[in-house]
Amino acid sequence: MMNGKKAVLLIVAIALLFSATGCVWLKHLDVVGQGAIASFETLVNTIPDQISKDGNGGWSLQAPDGAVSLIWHTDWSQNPLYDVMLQIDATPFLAAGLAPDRLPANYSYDGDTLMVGVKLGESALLYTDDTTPIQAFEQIVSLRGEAISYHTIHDHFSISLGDGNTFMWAKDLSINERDIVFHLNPQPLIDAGVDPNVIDGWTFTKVETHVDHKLVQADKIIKTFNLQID
Amino acid sequence: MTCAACAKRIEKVVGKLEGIESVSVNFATEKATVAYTPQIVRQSDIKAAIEKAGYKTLDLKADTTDTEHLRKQKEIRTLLIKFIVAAIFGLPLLYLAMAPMITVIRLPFPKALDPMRYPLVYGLAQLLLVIPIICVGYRFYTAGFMALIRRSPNMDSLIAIGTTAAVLYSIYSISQIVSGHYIAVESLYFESAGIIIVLILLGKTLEAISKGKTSEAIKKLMGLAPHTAIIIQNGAEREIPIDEVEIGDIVIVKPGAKIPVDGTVLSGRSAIDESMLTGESMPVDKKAGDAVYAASINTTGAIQFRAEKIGDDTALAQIIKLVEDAQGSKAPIAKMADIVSGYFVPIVCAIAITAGIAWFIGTGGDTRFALTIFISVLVIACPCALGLATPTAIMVGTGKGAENAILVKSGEALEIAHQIDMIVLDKTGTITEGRPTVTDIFTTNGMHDALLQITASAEQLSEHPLGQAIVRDAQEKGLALHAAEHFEAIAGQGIEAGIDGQRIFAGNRKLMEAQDISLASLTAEADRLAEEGKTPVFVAIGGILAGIIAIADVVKPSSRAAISQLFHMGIEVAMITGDNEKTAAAIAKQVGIHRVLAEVLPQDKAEEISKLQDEGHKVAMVGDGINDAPALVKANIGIAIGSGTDVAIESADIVLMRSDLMDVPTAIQLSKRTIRTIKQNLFWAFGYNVVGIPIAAGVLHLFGGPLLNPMIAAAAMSFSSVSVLSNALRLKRFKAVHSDQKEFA
Repeated sequence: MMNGKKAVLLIVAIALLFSATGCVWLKHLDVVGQGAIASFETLVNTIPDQISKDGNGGWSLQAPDGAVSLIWHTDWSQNPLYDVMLQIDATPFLAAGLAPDRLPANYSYDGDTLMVGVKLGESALLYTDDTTPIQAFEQIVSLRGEAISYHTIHDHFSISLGDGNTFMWAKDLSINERDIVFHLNPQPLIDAGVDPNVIDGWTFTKVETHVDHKLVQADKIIKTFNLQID
Repeated sequence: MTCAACAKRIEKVVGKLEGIESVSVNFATEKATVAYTPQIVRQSDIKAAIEKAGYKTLDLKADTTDTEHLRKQKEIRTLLIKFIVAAIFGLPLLYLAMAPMITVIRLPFPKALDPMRYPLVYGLAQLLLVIPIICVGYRFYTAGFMALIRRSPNMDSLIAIGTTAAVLYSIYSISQIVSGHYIAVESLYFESAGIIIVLILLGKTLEAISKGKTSEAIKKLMGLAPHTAIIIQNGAEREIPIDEVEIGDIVIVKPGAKIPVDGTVLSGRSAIDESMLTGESMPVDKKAGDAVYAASINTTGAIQFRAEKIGDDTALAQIIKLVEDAQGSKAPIAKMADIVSGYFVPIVCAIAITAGIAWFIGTGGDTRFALTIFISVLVIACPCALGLATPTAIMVGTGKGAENAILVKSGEALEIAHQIDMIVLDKTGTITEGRPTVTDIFTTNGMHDALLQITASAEQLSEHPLGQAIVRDAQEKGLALHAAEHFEAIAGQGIEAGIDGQRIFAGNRKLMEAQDISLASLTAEADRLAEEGKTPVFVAIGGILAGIIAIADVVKPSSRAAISQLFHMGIEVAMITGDNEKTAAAIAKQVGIHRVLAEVLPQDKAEEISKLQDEGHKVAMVGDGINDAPALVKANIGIAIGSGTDVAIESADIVLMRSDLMDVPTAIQLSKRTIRTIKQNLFWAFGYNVVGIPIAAGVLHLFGGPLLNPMIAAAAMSFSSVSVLSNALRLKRFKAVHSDQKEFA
């Protein structure tokens, strides 16, 4: 058995090596990030008809009913408001009592569309080839990995859009009945006059979620889709 | 050795060798005592058997006191360093594992280690932190798995199996995370394995430190001896190491110095402080011809003495050996604990496996849950406290006895002593001083000193104890003795001598009757003295009764109080003596004893003890070791008083180095306290296991109760060892209770 001094030296050497190469290691060790990319790619490839280029230089994943889309941008230096966001048909919200002038600052409203999202950074982002949806998504995982999460409860990945708004998709589309889920934080909408119980096409319900590693039941306004993958 | 099961294993392998008569291994002192027939088996065979079993041996003779002390200190230092290293890695490991689970408050946590976001990094970080902990705790694995392979699992086996299972399962969980099963991040047990090792190392460190303290009595005794001696060689003084002193050397001891070895004074006079041997604080005057003992302190004058006993033969070495042997011996209750711990580990392994499988099936295949149960049972059930329970108490108890000049020869003696319900005290030298002294002088003319002077002058050639008592008294009073013109000892009656032209007769009634000397003038006094148990020496001068000198063996100052204390403790006290019934009765009355066995010949004392035992009593006999040896051996407990001689040590179970009878109730009280401590320790040791195992196995959980987390199990197990040791150390505060209650005599 090696003596104590040698053991300590070895441990210190390993620690230094790890520190020096930490970033590289972390990328390879980011199994959730890698898993999120892989499953998102599967999702994109599963519903290619729902994927399109957004007019502002981003990519859009539209819900099957067209009422909401997830948009993620390819160049974070170009967008003053959001680098990733939800674009939502405002009609049912208006019908439910929404007063747009009472919406908080992170919401945008342009008459028939609500937008809520988050800035991820100011980087121009670099791509080796033409930007694909997955490449743009990979930038989010690489540069703002904390925006991506994995939820054990429903076996979902998610991307955080700030203020409790998220987009979730199943890790394994073939076995999950809730393949994609759009989550909205109800409180800002309630404060803006919306009755969450009467939003057409959306469900107001309690959802189990982790907040600061604590499992909590949170109120959410959600829209769920089962893409019926074999 | 890491626990009592190891000690048991060594006893088993050595005991199997041909030629072995007995073997006793003490886990606490790490010593094996083997009785063997050298013609059949050699020491090297015994050592080989022990080493084959996987344990190192150290030759006791070669391992001097200082070396052993240094070895133990090094062991403590090594354990402490291991614990600190383990704790340095263990604390962050614990934080990593626990912080995400603490939801009451939000603890700072690095984002790069978020278990939900970076589960693989999280798992690998814990793996990196646990590796150094396992490295410093490698002994548990090497010893534990070796013991398992040898089919003699011990405490280390439990730790090794439990923590290995935790680590291996956690590594499997990491592989699951890599495969995309991120939920496996909730199945990491690195912190359980790591913290178990940390806590066990803490327990072992505290155990080593405490063991050092329990053997302080031995260290103190060993520290008494000086390191050098001044001898006279070729007419010159030469200072040499004490180990080089040889028998026959002339040793000089100057004032203030310690006597290096045992010997006999050749020249010089001094007062020697022998408190370390006898407990007596008053220095003893020594002159040519008197014995001196190693480690006693020369106070006033310089002396020269011839070395007669050196090294292991000195009285000090004998005492140290006696205390060491007592500490290494096993009380019957300890043997029971050893037997239990020998079966304990395999039973615990069986319980752990059974509970794990049962819960795996019961939960429909929840491996995590079953593994937690399995690890918890293994860890909580460690019997290390059980192995410490008895030897630590005996170590401290016998050490405390040695501090109080009470030498207990064996753990068995301690255990039996507390059961004693009858004590038989020898009269002469035990209850009494053992030295007749003049108590009264009656004269027909009122001239006491004159009578004493002339009688002492007549008796100075007498070898009779009564005559010597008279001479001593006269000398103490400073009376000049006159030379006897003639002297004759008359057997069975007294003496006749001529002093200053006068014919002196001194002796008993028979002598006076034979010389036709009337006792009428002092008859009343003579009768009264007999009633008081005193021996009257009639003195006639010129054919006429001149007076009576009464002589008695005085009761020791502490005898009455000591006997009263024994009665108060519920112990019946009897007196045994060869003296006549009247004298015996008188002494018994003085000290409050009702049951007297008088006129018993020395060879019949053992028979009397036997009769008392037939009455159903557990009997202790207290006497001097020389004359009462058969009775001391016959009694359930033999207590030799006022003597550190070889005979006393040989025949007695307990040796009281002082002549104070109060040490008898003290010894009994110490015995009771030690046994009580052993029972408390066994309660603590067993209690943790008895309560902990069912909880760890999930019995309470069946009814909705709590489970036992493996780390809590490790903490409890370490705490059990520490609590057993701490409880044993409480014995160091033992003080004899001498109640000032009314006497029962």
